[in-house]
Amino acid sequence: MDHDRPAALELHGVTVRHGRERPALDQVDLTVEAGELVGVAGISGNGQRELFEVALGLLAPTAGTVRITGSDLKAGGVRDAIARGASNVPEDPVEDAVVPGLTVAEHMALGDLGRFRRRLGIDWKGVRDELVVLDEHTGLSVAAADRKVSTLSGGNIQRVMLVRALGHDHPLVVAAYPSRGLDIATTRRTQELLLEQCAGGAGVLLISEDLDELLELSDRIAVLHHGRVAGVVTPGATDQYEIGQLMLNGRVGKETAA
Amino acid sequence: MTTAPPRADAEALHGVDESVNAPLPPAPEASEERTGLPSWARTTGRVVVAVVGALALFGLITALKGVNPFTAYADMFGSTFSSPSKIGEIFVRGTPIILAALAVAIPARAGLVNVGGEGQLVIGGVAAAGVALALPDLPGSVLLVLMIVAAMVAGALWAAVAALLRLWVNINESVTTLLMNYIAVDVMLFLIYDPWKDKAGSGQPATPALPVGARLSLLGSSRVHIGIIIALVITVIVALVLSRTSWGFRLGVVGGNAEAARRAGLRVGLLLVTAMAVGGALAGLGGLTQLAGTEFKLRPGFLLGYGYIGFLASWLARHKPLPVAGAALLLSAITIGGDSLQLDSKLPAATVNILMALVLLAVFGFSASRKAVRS
Repeated sequence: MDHDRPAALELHGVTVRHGRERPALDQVDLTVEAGELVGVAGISGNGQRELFEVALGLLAPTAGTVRITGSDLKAGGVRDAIARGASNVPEDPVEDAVVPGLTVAEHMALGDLGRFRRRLGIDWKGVRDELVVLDEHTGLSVAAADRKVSTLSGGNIQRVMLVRALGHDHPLVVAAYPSRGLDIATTRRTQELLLEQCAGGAGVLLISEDLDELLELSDRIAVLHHGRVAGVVTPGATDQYEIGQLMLNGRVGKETAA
Repeated sequence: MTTAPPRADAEALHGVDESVNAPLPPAPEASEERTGLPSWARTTGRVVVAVVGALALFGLITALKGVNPFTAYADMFGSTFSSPSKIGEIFVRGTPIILAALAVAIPARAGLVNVGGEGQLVIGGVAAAGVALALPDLPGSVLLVLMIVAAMVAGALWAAVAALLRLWVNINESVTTLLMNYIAVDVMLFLIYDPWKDKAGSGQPATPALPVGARLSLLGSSRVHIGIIIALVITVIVALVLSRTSWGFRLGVVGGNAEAARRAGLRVGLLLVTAMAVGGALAGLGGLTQLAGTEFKLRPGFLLGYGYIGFLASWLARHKPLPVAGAALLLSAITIGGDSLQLDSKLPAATVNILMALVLLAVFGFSASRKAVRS
């Protein structure tokens, strides 16, 4: 990791509250340095979705600050985050990223529309040319440019998302369950691409339910429990049992009756 | 940092077994591709079959009313196409219908349902008439330009209100646009019954007639005015804008998946408002063409439900601009044929509405049944 450059992502005291319920995120402090891969573990529903959305400016925190590459996210955060080069692999592509009727090329353009706009129109030839280059670079064998994404299998939709998110170097990548629905070979390639992003100077926040994946790829692992960071562990100095205890109980050690 | 996992063999990646990937529902295109027909041919075929079915059903209804359906259709056809002037009437009525239909089609691209074409037509006509009344001494051509601007701005603002209400207080725009139709008509009626009433007129509630110089030019010696050319050119422009521009692309993204649009950093609210406003501006222009090309004054029968017919036309053609214009002219022809149902077949005036409703339901039903079969 690169401490000379501003941290890719900094969350300070971030709280997200939906109505009167228990906070979805509660006073979360988390930093992802440039060139660092921070994993996020936790039982589903412990704040991962909110963490993903807050980190990308999709959700404004009830309290706390979010900084990307050294600057606070401005109001209307997602556009600000995208403008600063933040990239993401969504948790649920069909719900959150796939537009029925649009082709693979059109989804590629949507991922970086500002760059492909030409006067009033869109440089579709540029989009297609870049798709070929990125497909070759990532080795993900994405579907043909004219295929409608909504007609693809779940795995092939995920490849489109991965090429779009990981084809270029970014200062920040937030990836939620990036290998979900993929075959083994593509999963390995996806993991390589995440590490290549780090090698290129990106900070990567990897949310995953696969502890083996987190232990293998991460520099540090933050464990979420009831919306709090129950602990931050280092893969070489921990094991699945310890992470499991943090996920279940929010702390390491024998559970005592409350 | 941990050691990177061994790089996967590229060949292994390209020969991936996709069986582990969860399959999505089958692609809608897949079943259609097997027919071997191009998309436009399938769509046209569907519409033709649906329209013929609707005509058959309507024939049954006329028969039940004691009217020979073949005679009724012959009279309708004859009254609509018997002379160039009657054919021209299709374009005269079709002009505001085309523009009102585009006012539905553009917001529909962004997922909005604009039922307010009628009100936007009316308010466009009202704004244009207001300009004409306020600036009677201007040269006709200058006045006409100002009337066009006023009509489009008024239509845009009237329509944008519905989009803003949806954004700010989450009121469904199909409800607000529908209700605002009644307000627009009441505004017009208030004005023509009192402040704008032609004092030198026959006593009927109507504004003074537009000066001749501020009217739309006629094409030759017919009643057809240049508004139809304007409407058709705008249809082509709308088709190009929706299919070729970044704005059109972004509208399609918002209409297809608003959450994906938001996550891609698109200004969803602004796109919704501009889509509705541009649609409203075109409907406002439609009101102007009705005022400056056909009626020359505001009066209670200023529009004959053209906004609603435009709504049907847009849905009939699935909001695709060029087919929308064709559907608008088709429905215009049906309304003219409907006059014959009243005059020749002695059927109630509303009978033609049944025919239009049957055509629309048949087209909808046909496409819906195919989707049901697929799923």
